[in-house]
Amino acid sequence: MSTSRIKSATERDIAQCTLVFAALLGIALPLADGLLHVLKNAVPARIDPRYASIRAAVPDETTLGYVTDFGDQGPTGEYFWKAQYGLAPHLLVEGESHRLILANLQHPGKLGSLCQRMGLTPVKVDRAGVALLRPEGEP
Amino acid sequence: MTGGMRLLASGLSLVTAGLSGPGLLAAALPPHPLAGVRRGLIIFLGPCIGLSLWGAVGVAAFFMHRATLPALMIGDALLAAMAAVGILLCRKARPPVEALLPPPAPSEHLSNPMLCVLLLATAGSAAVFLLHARLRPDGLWDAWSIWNLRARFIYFGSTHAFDAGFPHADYPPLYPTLIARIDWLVGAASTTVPLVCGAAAAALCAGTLFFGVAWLRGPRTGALAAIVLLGTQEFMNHAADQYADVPLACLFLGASVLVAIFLDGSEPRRIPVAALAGVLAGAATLLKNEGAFHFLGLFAGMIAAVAIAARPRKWGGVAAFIAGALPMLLLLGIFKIAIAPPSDMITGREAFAIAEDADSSPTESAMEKNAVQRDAGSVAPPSLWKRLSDLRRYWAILLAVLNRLIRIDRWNLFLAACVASFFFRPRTNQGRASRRALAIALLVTSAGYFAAYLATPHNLTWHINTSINRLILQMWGVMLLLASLRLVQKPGQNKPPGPV
Repeated sequence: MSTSRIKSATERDIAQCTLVFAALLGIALPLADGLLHVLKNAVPARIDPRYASIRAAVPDETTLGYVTDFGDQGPTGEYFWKAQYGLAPHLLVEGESHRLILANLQHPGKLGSLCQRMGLTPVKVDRAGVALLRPEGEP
Repeated sequence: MTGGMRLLASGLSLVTAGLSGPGLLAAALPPHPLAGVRRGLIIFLGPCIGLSLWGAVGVAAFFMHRATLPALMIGDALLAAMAAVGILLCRKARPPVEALLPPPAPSEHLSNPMLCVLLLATAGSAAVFLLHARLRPDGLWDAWSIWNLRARFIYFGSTHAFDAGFPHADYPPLYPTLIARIDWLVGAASTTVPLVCGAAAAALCAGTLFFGVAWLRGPRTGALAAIVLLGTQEFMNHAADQYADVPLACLFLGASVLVAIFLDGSEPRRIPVAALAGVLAGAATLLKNEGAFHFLGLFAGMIAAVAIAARPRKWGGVAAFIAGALPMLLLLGIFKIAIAPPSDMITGREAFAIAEDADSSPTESAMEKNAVQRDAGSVAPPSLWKRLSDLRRYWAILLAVLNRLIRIDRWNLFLAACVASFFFRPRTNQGRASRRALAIALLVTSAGYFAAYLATPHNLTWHINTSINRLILQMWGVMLLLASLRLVQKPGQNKPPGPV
């Protein structure tokens, strides 16, 4: 075998070993990082269970109003779309001008003051921080 | 819907996806000296074709407001019948040349150490996927606000599935429809189905790369390419995030592998392979808007490769490529004209107030991100001409690309190494036509993405930060395929490279 071919084969082996080593490192590090996260942090809550009781209480394909105390998050915010996902195929529309309204609350204790301020009455309240409301005076 | 009906529909779906995917591919593929490589490619690439066509039946049914199990079963039966006819035609046209194949060279076999490393990488990647899935059980932003949300609306037969108020309502419907179709068979809008789809897409992509490269450059190179793909952090992260980018990468790669196989051979019987490449490239356009760039790129690449190589018999393959893509393009046209609202890339409407990408810091609060985007959106975007003529935008995009090249925490060493390899002379003169076609496809796709960034009415920094990794990921499999074709000789043919 000529010297140049031996050299070429050695170069190829070194390149292959480098790629394999980097790849295994690229798998091992995220694996370790993920394990640490799982051990240190609580597993995040799933979306569906939070809205399950409200979903069951709403008639088929209802359009619901949407009010929240999650900062200034409107229809383009994270919690709105999570609620929309959890409640599909019911459609969520920002605001309280609907027969049924979803209250999506970061602080469930504020439900009373929110209802008072907006003139709404609870229809169904869930401990998770979501409630189904209707305008006061409507059946 | 009764359980018996669902069971029947599931059986028919399996037959349909099996016939129209692995069945058609097995009939279309030419023989290969290594039977295992051929079998592997059918096992991994076949389902990509079958599931794309099976999903497209669901899209057509949804467009016709006939998305019920009985109607879908009729559609499946039609597709299965057409696939059976296609298989018969392919088999009839295929001459019996298997016996004339040369025996494989000893160097073509996969060594045991390499096989062990591949298995280790596969097991490790599966563990990374499972950990990610545990940490983000509903996936990330695009999963629950676009793909899986839309899948639920389609599953329930709601008329709101493509409401203009939804984020990216102009995104094509293949992926959510595919999820909804599986949900119909399962009987519920399950959160497990999108996760399984993400895992399946990752597995099919890695398998297609392994066997595709093994077909063209031998199993050793195939295994190395698959190990590199699995060792790229972004790949498994996004698969577990339940985004559509890994399935899209799988379709890009599948179409490219078939185009390379088509262009590498000289026999006219490879024309069905080009048609199946067209099916995959067309399915990519129906999966995400970015698919259109790759489809155009692959088409242009095929034309250039056939014209430069002066192989008039291959023009039939170019026509077959378009014919294969035509049904998907037709569905895309109906969707874009009759159903989809105008894209936020045209209207400038906020796609999201907050969007999350792997680049976003997990410690950054949603409120802060919201404020950043609101501030960005509060200023009216400059006119299209001003955006296109602003040199700072070109510089910002180039800087972002360069930044990704050195992000070894996201792309390992591989992105920089792969891109660098494209600037060197190829180490082989084999398969010039296929290399040319894939290079042109990648160039056109990249140019399309670049133009999209230039023209975006959104805040450019925000747009780049929330999408550039995913755009690179879409092309990553094809980039690895092309790098393999450029750097490695076919086993047993170690001639010194001539002029290339």
